[in-house]
Amino acid sequence: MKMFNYCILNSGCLFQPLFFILERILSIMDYYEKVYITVYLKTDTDGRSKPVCIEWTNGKRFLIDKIIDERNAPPEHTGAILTRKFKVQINGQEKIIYYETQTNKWFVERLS
Amino acid sequence: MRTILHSDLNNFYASVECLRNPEIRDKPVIVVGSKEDRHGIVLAKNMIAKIAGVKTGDVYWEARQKCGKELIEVQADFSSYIAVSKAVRKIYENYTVRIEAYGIDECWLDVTSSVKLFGGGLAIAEEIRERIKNEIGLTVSIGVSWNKIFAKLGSDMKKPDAITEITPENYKQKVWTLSVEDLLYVGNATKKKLNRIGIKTIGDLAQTEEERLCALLGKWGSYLHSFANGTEQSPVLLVGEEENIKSIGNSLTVYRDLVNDDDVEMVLLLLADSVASRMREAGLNKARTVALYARSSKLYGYQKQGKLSHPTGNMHDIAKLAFKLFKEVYPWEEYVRGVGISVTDFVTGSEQLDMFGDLIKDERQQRLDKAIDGLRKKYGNGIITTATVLKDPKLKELDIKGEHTIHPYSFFRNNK
Repeated sequence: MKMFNYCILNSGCLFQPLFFILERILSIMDYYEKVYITVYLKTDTDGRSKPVCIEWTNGKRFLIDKIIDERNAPPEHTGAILTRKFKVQINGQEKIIYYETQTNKWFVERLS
Repeated sequence: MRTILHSDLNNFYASVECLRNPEIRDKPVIVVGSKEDRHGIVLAKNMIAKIAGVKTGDVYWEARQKCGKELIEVQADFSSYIAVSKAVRKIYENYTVRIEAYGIDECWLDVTSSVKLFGGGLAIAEEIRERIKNEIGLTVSIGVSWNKIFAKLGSDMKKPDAITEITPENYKQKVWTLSVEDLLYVGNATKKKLNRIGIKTIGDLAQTEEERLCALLGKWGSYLHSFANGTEQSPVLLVGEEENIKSIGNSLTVYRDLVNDDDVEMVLLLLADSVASRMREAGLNKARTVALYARSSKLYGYQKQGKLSHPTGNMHDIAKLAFKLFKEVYPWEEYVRGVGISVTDFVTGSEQLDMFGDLIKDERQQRLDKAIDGLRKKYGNGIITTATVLKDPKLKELDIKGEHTIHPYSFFRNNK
């Protein structure tokens, strides 16, 4: 799918509006949902907090190896306002977790 | 020459709702006040609803008629809007300290002193636009110019997600061709007056002699002349300046239309009560000027301000003057949808005693006010109210003071 979108974006062809609609339809097809998770935070002596471990809905815990990137950004596929996006590494894999600053909740986006 | 940006968040309330709930993004969306109390007018709409002909100020069933069953109505959630607005402002603060809010979704930024650092006004505008999109997820229209008026016109020209620069070289093509009502502060009445003497575009206005405009519009003639020519010089306020209280106001869109003077008087009394009580809370005892704002059911606005005979913080005096102003300014061609009162010109420090005033009465009133404030603090704002208001039991339940009111700061607030 990503590859397909990429081709569309780079085709620069006259039918771009048509492709735009097509892309929208396709993006509706892969439907993402928000899954709230429990997150363990570590707060340092300066009062800065960062996530160290996440707990999945079934109670299983995963340690965060490192935080690759952290910035203010809206979620890619689901809805939320004023979120902070963390790109983290868990078991050698890159994952993205979001923090909702308004509600103080953490979530991930899951393809359903 | 200054470099001023005017940044306008596109369809702000509706965009926030779409951000929160992306499934509704492809449908017509309107944001309404509380439906049960029939504050139910459209406060904002997204692009799709706009194309369908929905206007801000429509009653929600009118919007439903225009959009059909697809229409999504979302109840306004002001605390979220304020939070998002604050986050956007944080982004602005990276480029300048001179930020002046005009309502919740618009700001002027004076970036004159940071243009060298970032490579020009246009570059700053581009960076702000990108950042708001990437970090918050909203689109913004920005106007870049050398004065506040043209910057605002610029931000209105291309929407959404666009930047327009108005320079001394291109303003005659870009601004002067616009219709005169596009100019800030040219409302319906002013437009009619101007049209009558053959002024249709902003260019016409700019080329008319100032004296002629002044004869027609009073001091506003000279303001509008400077607006149209780009010679307007009002400063963009500093961040800190906003914290100074210059005026206290409350407005209310009533759950039903107000049909006669008695109704209006009653609501004005309620508003004056809230204003007076907020004044006392802010430690401001007396004010000299009262401004009244009324909005008809067709959403035309009328306003007038007047001076009090002596500075006062008394709700009855404020309400009395507001009602007098209302009688003077409102033509009663339609029913009244909403009214607002604000007070300015606060008296601080020692004051001259009024020779004919009744000191004892004044002091008694102050003691009464204090007691009322005490009661309200303990039991809530609804615990005590004026008897006039009891005529309409639903009004009695309204908690004006407790509710959030958001309205733009006046453009001339600091230029008096």
